[in-house]
Order: sequence, then C-alpha cells, then structure tokens
Amino acid sequence: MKDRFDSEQISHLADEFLEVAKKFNDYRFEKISQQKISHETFLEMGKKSNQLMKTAREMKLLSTIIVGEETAAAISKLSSINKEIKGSINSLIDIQKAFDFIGALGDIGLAIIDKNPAAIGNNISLIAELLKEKTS
Amino acid sequence: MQLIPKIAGIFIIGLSLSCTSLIPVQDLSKEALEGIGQLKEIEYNFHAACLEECTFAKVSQYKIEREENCACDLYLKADEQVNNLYFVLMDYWEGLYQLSSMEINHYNLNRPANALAASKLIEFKEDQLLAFQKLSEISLIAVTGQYRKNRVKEYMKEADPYQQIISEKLVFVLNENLLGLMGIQKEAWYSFYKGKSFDPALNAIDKASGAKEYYQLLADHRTRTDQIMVLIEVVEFIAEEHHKLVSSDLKLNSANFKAEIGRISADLRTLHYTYEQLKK
Repeated sequence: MKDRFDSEQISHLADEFLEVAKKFNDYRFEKISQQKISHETFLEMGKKSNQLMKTAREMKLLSTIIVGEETAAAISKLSSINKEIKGSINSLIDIQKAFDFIGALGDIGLAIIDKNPAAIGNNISLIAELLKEKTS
Repeated sequence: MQLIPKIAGIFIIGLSLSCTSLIPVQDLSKEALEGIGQLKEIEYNFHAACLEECTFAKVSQYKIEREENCACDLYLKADEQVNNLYFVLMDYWEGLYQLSSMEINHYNLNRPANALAASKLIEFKEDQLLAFQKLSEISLIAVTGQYRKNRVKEYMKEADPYQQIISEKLVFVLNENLLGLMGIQKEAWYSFYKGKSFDPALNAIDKASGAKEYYQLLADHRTRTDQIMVLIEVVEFIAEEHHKLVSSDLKLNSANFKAEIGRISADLRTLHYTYEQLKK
C-alpha cells in the first residue's frame, strides 16, 4: 500500500497548491477591481500564482511516475499469468497439430495398403512439415 | 456387438462434457477489450498536457522562439507508465478472449478412423465407423472444453487481485493526475484571460476577442474531460465486474453467469455509446 499512499499524498498536495493559487487569483482580481493595487503589483501577484501552479504540475507528474512496490508486483504477477494463458493456448494448438499428425500417419497406412507410392510420398512430406513446425 | 453399448456410453459422457460453453467469458473479454481499448483513442496525454502548458505560457508572454523549446521529456515517462498499466490489462483480456474462443470444432478424425478400418484389426460396418469417428470428436471437444473451462476459471481467480490493483492505479493516474493537470491548465487560462480584462493597454475589442478565446478553450476542455471520465468509468466497471464474478463463484456455464454477462455487456455498450457521442 505504501506506493499508492505516497503517490496519492503527492497528488493531493498538488490539489492543495492549486486551491491556494485559485484563492490568490481571486484575491488579486478583487483588489485590482477595487483599485487597491497597482497594475504592476497585480501582474507580480499573477506570476506568484503561476509559480504555485507550476509546482502543482510537477507534483502531479511525480505522483504519476512513481512506480511503487505494490503496482510493480501486480504488473509482474499479471504478466506471468498472461504468459501462462498463452502457454495454455499453445498447448491446445499442439493438440490440433498432434491430431493432424495422427491423421497423416493414418493416411500413410491407407496408402501402403493401397500400394499408392504418390500418396505415401505426399504424406511423408506432410509429416516432415508437421515435425519441423513442432520442433522449430 | 459389444462395441455399440460402449459407443453409447462414450456418447453420453461426451454429451455431458460438451456442455462447457465458454461463450459468456468470450463475450465478457470482448467487451473488456473494446472498453479498455478506447483509452488508446484519446489523443490527449501527459506529454500533450506539458506541450499545451508550455506553448500557452509562451503565447501569454508574447514570446516567439525559433523552436518550441519545451522541456517535456519527463512527461513521456508518465505516458509510459500509463501504457504499462494499459498493456498488461489488455494482454490479460486478450489471453482470456483467445482461450475462451478457440475454434476447436475442426478436429477431423475421419482419417484415423479410416486407417483403423483399413487396418482390419476390428471389423467395422460403415455406420459404426461413422459413429466411432463422431464420438471421438465429441469427447475430444469435451475434454479440451473442460480443460479450458477449468483453466479460465483458475486464471480469473489468480489474476483478480492484480487486475484490481492495476486498474485502480490506472484510474488514479487518469483521474487525479491527468485530469488534475487539465484542471491546473484551466486555472492558468482563467488567470491569464481574466488578467487581460484589467489591462489598461487593451481596448474593448481586444478584451472581447480574449473572452471568446477563453470560452472556446473551456468548451474543448469540457469535452475532453467528459471523454476521459467515461473511460475511467469503463476501467473501474470492468475491474469491479471481474472481481464480482470471481468472488460470486458462479459456474461459468450457468444461466446466472450468462445473465450477469448480458447485463455487463449492456452497461458497457451504454458507456461506449456515451463515449462515441462525446467524440462528435
């Protein structure tokens, strides 16, 4: 939980900085409209509020790029489950290949019985291909 | 003659095992892929937020430079972080989808059956041979179907806590930080344009044009925010539903499970429709 806590804390702090910047802006707009501050002071105050917002941005960025233990562990665990799922898919594809293989062997049996050299040749090359696929 | 009762026995086992439809899981995965996949359609990201702020700051100071000169490289790291979370979730749903939707009906056992008949080891009549072939195919489908069903259930259970943490983090990063940056940008626009309205050097026409620009920026900001919020809702919803399904321990081929998936699909379609409307 530590990483999310830190990440959330920094992000929350950025929100507070933004709130202060907003209040500061409201204040300078109020003062300038009441003509209680000069335009120069008003612009200077604007720079200060921009600075607060700049810091808030940097905090939001930092909060995002922090990858703590909990998230990193979850990513690695889910990745390894994903690998297992792919393994299962491959083993099911292998079942299909095995049946193709048995089928080709069966056809050789038939061709031998029929004394059909062309069919024997075709099936042998099919088996060779299947074997190549399985071992490659 | 003893072969027929044997075949009948296999047939009954085969039929009972073949009722292991994984279509509901397949549907759920498809919806999840479509829903979470929409994240890639958002053209706005951390890097774009940085460039937006940088160029706006330059414009507001009437600063013209030959190049943009925006120090936004670190923001690419933030996008990379979002991508890592996104891809691992998509990869998971893609795997579940493939595993639950594999076409296994094409096992064709007529060649081994014919070879068996030709070997003359057992005398087959033609209809017996056909029955043998069909039953072998049914039991094969049933066995692989059962295997897949068990694996899918196992994987979903094992993956659940991690998919939750990852989805939560993704939601947090988008909701608090990407939308957060947009909120800061919104205040920067307000500060600049409102400040302009007090500038004694500007006339009424300049101020009106500034106000127009400001409200256009606000309108674009609102559309973008709404889009991101719908996608956040999609990610949250899918993660929650995954968790509910795993913890409810519903049988994957039960009527309740199918009804649940139907409800989830309908809700996701509504969210998808909302998102499409926002894109217009």
